Amino acid sequence: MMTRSHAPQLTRWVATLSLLVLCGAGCKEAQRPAHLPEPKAPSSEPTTVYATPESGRMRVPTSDGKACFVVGFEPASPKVGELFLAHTQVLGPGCNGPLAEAEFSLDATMPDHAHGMVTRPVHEAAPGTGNWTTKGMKFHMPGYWKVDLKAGEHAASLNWNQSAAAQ
Amino acid sequence: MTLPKPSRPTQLRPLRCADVSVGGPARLRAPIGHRRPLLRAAWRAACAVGLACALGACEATPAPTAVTPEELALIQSLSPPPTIPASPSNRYADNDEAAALGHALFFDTRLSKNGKVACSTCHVPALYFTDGKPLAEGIGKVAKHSPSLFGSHFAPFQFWDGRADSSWSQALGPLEAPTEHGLTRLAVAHLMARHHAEAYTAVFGPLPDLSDSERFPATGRPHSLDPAHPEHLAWGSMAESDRDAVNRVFANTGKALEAYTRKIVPGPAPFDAYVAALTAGDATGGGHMKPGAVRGLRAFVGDAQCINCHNGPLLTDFAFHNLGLPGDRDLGRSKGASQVLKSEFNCLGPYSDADGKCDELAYLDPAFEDFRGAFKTPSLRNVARTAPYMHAGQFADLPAVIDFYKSLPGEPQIGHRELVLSLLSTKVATADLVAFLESLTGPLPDEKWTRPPGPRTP
Ligand code: HEC
Ligand code: HEC
Ligand SMILES: [Cu+2]
Repeated sequence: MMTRSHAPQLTRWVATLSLLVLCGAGCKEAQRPAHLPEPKAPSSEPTTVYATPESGRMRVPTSDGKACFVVGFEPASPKVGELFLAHTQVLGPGCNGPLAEAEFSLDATMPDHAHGMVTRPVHEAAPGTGNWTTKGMKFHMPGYWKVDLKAGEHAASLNWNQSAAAQ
Repeated sequence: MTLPKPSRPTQLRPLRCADVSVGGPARLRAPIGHRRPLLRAAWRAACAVGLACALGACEATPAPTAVTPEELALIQSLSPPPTIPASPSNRYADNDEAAALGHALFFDTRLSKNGKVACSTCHVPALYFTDGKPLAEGIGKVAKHSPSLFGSHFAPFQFWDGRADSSWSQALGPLEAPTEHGLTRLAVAHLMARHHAEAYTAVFGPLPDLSDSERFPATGRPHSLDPAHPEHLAWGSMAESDRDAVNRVFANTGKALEAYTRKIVPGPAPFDAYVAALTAGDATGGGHMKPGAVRGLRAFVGDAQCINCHNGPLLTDFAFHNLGLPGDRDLGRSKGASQVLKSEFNCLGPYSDADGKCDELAYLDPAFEDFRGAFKTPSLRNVARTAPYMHAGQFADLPAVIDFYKSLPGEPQIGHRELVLSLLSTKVATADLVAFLESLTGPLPDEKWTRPPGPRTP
């Protein structure tokens, strides 16, 4: 479980966001910031976790609890318009132990603007570990991005607020 | 001020009673809570009885408000102008001799079909390297407006539609454009041999021997869309190794030009002095910006949402957007993206020095849905000096640009206007935004680089 660090002021751009706690399996559901839309999440749908730029690695359990994604960006606070990497660990129930699925995808969209990324990212696996590196990620606009994660049958998503001030 | 819509998380939080400082000139002030407690109490009381701070009333009385931490972070993200990034695909980018050669080439009208056009014809130093015309004019009329060169080296993609991925490969475009310099790569190689052999050799090594006119015709280049073109036929008649030798001279010509244009970088503007003062704790910003300009700045990062696209210290995201400008049927970025992927002079091509490290190109998705009719966001540094505006010179002055953002007239003829672009509220004063944009004017480069180099060698 990550702790909130005292990130530089630059990245603390929406005060409400810093209140968020990211949720591992079994902990209380994360509080949704007022400015983000209601996730459409009946239990069969993927769960959604709200991330903050300062949260480092983010745990995203699936709603059925059968799998869990731990995602981190490199750099941790990507700049608008700059390429970055996403590192994902696919884990089993309770976020324990690697889940080496053969299929993996990570895609990002801006639901409010009805578009995705201007790049075509590539996913590379460290075989047998459940660890994936996604190259060629780019958030070309500030605002709310939805990051959809899939590994085999398992799916979950992460909400990311890209700050214009992360320069 | 309006409340942010939930879907616009980049907006600043709405004005709160606690943010409002009382009276005085429209300057940025420390939050009232950090100032006189009595005043603060009075203000709170006023708020409580709803006298002053019902949202409508706050709008009606434009009392200056303190900069919130979020607002300050956004303002700081626009300054100071950054240092120029490396140019990995051009190993001569920071070579002084290459810059001197590029300097000569930039002003050399002999490098054109009619002997009258140089880069400086359309990129006039005194006009911040623009030409003051809606559409550029070289040998003929060009379909695009001449952009300023300030800031172009910071962009991963060059041209309004990003069809080049480096400044050196960009420079090859105007040389071969029939309406600009009107040359071909073969003609350029011959001109380099005739007029610039010594400087070229000093930087790039010996030129190929072009004297055999059978092997090296006077003019020729590929025309993939017009295979019957005489220039295409002449080019096709050459041995592959000779074509490669000519391409290399051509690419090197671009690399020398880039070494020169890298001297054209934005310098500090009054806005930067203002931000520096603000950062140092001077809430007045050192008086470097007038109240109207400060209001314009705060709108720019706030309600006007300009910072959604004009972000970072060059006030551009270097991305491509469809604003739905009047009178345009250009495919824009969707064409430019496929062109740059195919270009033999791109970062992955044989004339690049990048050793295959070309991530921008490697991950580019030319099929991105919103690329249709999209053009590159220009840097707004020095923008007050570079009228007219937009990729086809659609607007004569800055008020006309702001009026466009306030009305967003018509529907685009290609693609659709991007959803991130919302109508600019008429409550934001045009004069304030213009005043802010005027505070972005920095100095021209050292005079050494803005005038032509010494007398020509015949
Ligand atoms: C006839 C006028 C004309 C001439 C001559 C000309 N340019 Fe340009 N330049 C333009 C126009 C118009 C554009 C935009 C074209 C487009 O995007 O399709 C442009 C774009 C550029 C850009 C891209 C800027 C950016 O931010 O994307 C650079 C750099 C540049 N020119 C440098 C040069 C150099 C170097 C030369 C000399 C080899 C040159 N230009 C000659 C008119 C001209
Ligand atoms: C959706 C992204 C976006 C937003 C939001 C936006 N701009 Fe722009 N701006 C652009 C693009 C893209 C262009 C160039 C369009 C073209 O030529 O097709 C541009 C052009 C301009 C120009 C002309 C620059 C030149 O050299 O030609 C000015 C001035 C300008 N914008 C100011 C503003 C201001 C002020 C705001 C806020 C009211 C704003 N912009 C909001 C994307 C945006
Ligand atoms: Cu968007």
